[in-house]
Amino acid sequence: MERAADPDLVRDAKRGDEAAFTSLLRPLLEPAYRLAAGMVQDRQLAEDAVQEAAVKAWRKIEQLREGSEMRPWFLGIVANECRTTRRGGWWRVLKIDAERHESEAPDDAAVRGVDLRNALKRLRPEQRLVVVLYFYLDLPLEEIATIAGASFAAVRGRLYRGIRELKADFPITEVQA
Amino acid sequence: MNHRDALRSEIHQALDPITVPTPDLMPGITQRLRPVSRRRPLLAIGQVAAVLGILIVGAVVFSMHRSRVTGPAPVTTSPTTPIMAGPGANNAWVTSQQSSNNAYTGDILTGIDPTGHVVGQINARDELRSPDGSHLYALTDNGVDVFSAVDGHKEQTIRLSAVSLGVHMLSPDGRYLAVVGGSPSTLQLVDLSIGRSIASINVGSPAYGIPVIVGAHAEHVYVVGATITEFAFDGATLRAGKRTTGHTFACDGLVAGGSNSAGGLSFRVLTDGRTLVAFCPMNGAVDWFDLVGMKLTHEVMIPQRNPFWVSPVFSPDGDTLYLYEGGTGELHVVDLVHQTVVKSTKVALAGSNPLAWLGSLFVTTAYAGAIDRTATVSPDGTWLYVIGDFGGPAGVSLVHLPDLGVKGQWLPDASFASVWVSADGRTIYLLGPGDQLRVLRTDGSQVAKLTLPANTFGFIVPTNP
Repeated sequence: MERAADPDLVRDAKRGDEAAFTSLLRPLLEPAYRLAAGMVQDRQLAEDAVQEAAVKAWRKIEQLREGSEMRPWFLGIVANECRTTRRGGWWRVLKIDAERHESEAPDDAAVRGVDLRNALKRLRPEQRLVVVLYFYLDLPLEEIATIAGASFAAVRGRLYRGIRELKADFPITEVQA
Repeated sequence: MNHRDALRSEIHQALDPITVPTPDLMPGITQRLRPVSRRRPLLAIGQVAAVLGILIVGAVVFSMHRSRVTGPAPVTTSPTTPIMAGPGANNAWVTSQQSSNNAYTGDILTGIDPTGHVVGQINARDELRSPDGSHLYALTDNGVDVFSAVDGHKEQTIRLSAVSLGVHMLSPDGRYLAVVGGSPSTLQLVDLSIGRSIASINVGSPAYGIPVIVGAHAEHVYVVGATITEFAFDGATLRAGKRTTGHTFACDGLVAGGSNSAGGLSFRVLTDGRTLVAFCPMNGAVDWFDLVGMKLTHEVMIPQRNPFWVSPVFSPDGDTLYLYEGGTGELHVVDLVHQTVVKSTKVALAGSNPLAWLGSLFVTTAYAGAIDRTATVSPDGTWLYVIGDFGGPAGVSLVHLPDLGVKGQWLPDASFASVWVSADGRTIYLLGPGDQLRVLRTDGSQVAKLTLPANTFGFIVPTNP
């Protein structure tokens, strides 16, 4: 699990030291962006979500308890921001363009990627969050529970159900090592 | 490789194209940290007051920065002639849908001025904006609230008979407002210059439709629904006249889309005062209806890939209808006087991401029940601003209407959903993903970028039926 944030930097950030805050933030931007992109599946939306989360973290830095890990705290804010972002499109519906699907033939890997992203989109947000954190950010379930603000058992259940729904939606081929 | 490892590998392969390379986010973040710089006792009082002020008008966070926006060539779309408009007409009013248990409960309207500042906020539903842009009208259960477009303050409440599921529409000069709704359905005519209802009549069946006011003194009001019913107004009373039978327009979308759906009005009365032109977002039909003879006189079909992809925009003089298909970038130009499609051409420029086409190849986003305003015409009729592929980075294309040539592109790496230009033609407002609004000048320079309340849906634009 991630080490606790440097207490000196946290203390300075809480006093309003912007440089200290950005030092804390810098190593977290890549996983934050990966999480956001996995959740919203749009580069611009993901950038916006991380930026918003960073501004909110700056405002709330005094809520980061001494000795706490910075990464799950910040990724939790990013996850919340992604939920807000996704709400913006609730009236939209997806239409499959069957005609173009049949007439064009891009490579199989790209097609599988699109299909899997769509399968991820169909997961409930709390399941998608756990799946992305576990499979894409390779985080342990304990840290995922902190990020998701849920119990270990609840996160494990969401992961199990998420995998089951993904498998139903998107057949995974096992490969012999 | 076991099942979980296989899934992990597949997920990495699926998401890496979106996340790799990770953009450099820190410059944008540090730029935004300063305006919300953390509190320092005493010294921060001004900042805290400023932040509180923003929270009071709607918890709208904004950040301002100015940056030059590049395009294929320097283009300015400044109006060539001065435009007259009402007070507040250059402010954008953006609606954010509110819901509870997935049911629509109303809107938050946020007003933004051309400098990117929030000027006011309104809680309302079923809004219209006056043709001169100076006022906003919102239906309530028992009337109409009138708000100033300058700062959103409520100027007046006009009492009406109970209206449920009401549909309202302004006259072209903005003096009259007609409302259809209630049970039994009633047509109520309001003279906004004196602020009260002046006549009402039972609509009969079918009860639902958009009221279209014709004449300088509202001599005729047509309720346009599945059928069209004429009502004559003599200055004191409304009287039922002719009524068509069957489905006059083969398009219930004219009603379902609402009186001022996000994509703009889908109908207009031509300058001859007797021809109603209606665009059907469901099948791409453009119909000409003779309001005197009460009959359909002509129809043309424009090709559209999907229902609710085409944003209809009328030219300021009302003689031309631009139909822009956001999903494909196709623009169809319809000469309403000569009743012909004069040109169909592709005007949206491609985004800079070479793989952007892949996503749109299989899954495209359509809009149920409303159309995003993906195109808007400058008030002098010279420029058409169109946004690119739904959700894809394609920026804004600048179409020079006299020759339909694409003269430039702004923010080519950004995604947008809706565009609107201010009444003076000097400010362009763009709504993008994440409820973000950008404010641009006519040279493409960005004035401000704001985050609006969640579920931001579209612009409330001046109504010109």
